[in-house]
Amino acid sequence: MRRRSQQRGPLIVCVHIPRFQLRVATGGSQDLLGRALAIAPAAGGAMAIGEVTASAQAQGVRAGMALGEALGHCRDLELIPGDPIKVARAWEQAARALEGIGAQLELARPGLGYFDAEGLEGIHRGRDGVIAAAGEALASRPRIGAGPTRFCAVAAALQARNRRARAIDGRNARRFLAGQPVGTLRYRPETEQLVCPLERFGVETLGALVKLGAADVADRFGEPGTLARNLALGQDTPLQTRRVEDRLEESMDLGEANSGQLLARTLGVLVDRLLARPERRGRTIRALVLSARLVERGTWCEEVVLREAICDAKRILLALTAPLGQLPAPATTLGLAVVEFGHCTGDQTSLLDGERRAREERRRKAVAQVQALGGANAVLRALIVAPDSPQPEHRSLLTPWVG
Amino acid sequence: MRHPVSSPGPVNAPRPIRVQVDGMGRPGAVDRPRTKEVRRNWLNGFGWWWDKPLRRRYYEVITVTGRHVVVFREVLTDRWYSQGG
Repeated sequence: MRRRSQQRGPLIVCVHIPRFQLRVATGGSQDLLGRALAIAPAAGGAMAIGEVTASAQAQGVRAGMALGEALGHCRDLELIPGDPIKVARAWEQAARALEGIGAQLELARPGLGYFDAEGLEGIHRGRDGVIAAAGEALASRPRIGAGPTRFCAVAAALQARNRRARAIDGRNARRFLAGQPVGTLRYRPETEQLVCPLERFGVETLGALVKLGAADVADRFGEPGTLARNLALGQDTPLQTRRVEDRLEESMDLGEANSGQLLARTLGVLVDRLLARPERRGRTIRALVLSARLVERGTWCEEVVLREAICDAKRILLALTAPLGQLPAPATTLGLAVVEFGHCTGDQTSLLDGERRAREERRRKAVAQVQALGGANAVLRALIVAPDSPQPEHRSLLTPWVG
Repeated sequence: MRHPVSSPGPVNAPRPIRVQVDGMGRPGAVDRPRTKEVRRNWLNGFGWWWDKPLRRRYYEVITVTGRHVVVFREVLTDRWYSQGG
C-alpha cells in the first residue's frame, strides 16, 4: 500500500468476507473456530455441501463437494442448514453500508463485492481513505484488496489479512497475478470449473497458465479458458454496478395454508400488497425474490426475473407459480420482495372492448383518488384464502385493492 | 356489534372480550350486559398434531340488550374472545 495516493489509473476495490454464508448461518464467526462445519446440501437440490470451515478444509473438504465424498474426508463433519434469506438480508445490509460511503457496487455473491474507487477519492481523502472507509463501514472484518482490475483486486483480497488491506499497483499487476494459484479462478463463475482440470494438468499458478499460450488454452478450454488467461494477464471486463433502489418486501405466516391452491392464494395476497405499496410509485416490476421459511429448519429463496417489466397482478402471479412449485418442503412463512423495478406504467389503451375498458378505467381512477386521500389501505377487497380452514379468521383476508 | 374494518389482515379475527361465566361454565354476561339466551354451543377442535392444537368452545349468545354475539373460550388457555357478528 506504499504511496498509493500517487498511483494513477483505475483502482477496483474488492471487499471479501470469507465464509459469509457460514458465518450468518451459525450466527457469528466465533462458532466457526476449531469445528469442522459445512452448510448442508439444499433440500431438493444437488447433494453438494456449501461453504466449509477452515478446520474442515484442512481435512480435505471443499465447498461444492458431494456429501458422501466430504464425509469420507472428514467423518466428524457437522452439517448445518443454510439460511439463504438471512444471508441475503445480511449481505444487503452490508451492501447498503458500503453504498453509504458512496460506492457503486457490483455484488458477485454474498460476501464478495467490488467497487471503483475513482470518484470517491475526493470524499475520503485519497485511495487510502476510500479503502479505510470501506473497512470501517462493515461490522464484520472484511478482507480488502485493490488493483487495476476486478480479478486482481480479489487476488489481492485473498492475500490480505484482517484489518490490513492489500493494494496492487497497475504496473505490478501482471507480475503479482503470475504468482497467484489457479484456485483464484474459483472467484469468477465463468472460470470456476477450470480450476480442477488445470490442477490435474499440473498448472498451479496463473503465470503457468499464461505460458501455455492463447491458442492452446482456447483449443483445450474454449471461451472460459481464454477469459481465464486474459484475467491472468491483468485484463478484465468493466464492473457492472447495481442501481440503488428501494427494496419492497412483504411476508405472511401460512398456518395450515402451506400447500397447493391455498399457498397460491397466499402468494396472490403478497403480490397485491406489494403492488399497493406507495413506495412503488407507479413503477413496473422486473425481478422478484420468492422466499420461504421451512417447517424443518432452514429457508429457501428463488429469484424470478420477469420476461418484461409489468405491474399486472395476474401475470406476476402466473410467473411466480412455477417457482412456488419448487418449494422443497412445507413452509411456515412465505415472503416476496421486489429486487428490480422497471419503467413507470404508461397508458396502454385497448383497440377493442372500449366500453368495458372505459368503465374499468373510471373505477381505477376512483380507487386511485380514494387511495390518494386515505392511503393504500383505504380501499380493500376480501380475498378467500382458505375457505375450509377450521379457524374462521384464516378463511378470508382483507388485502389492498390494486387497480 | 360490528367493528369497522380498516386495515389489511384477516377477516373475523378474534377479539379478546370480558365474559362472566355462570355455574355451568357458559357465558352469563358478555361485556357487562347479562345473557338473555344461549342459543347454541359447539366445540371446534382441530390439529391435535400441532404444537398448539385448536380447541375452542363457541357460544351463540343474545344479551338482554338484544345484541347477538358469537363468543368462544380457548379451552387450553381459558381465555374468551368474540368473533364475527
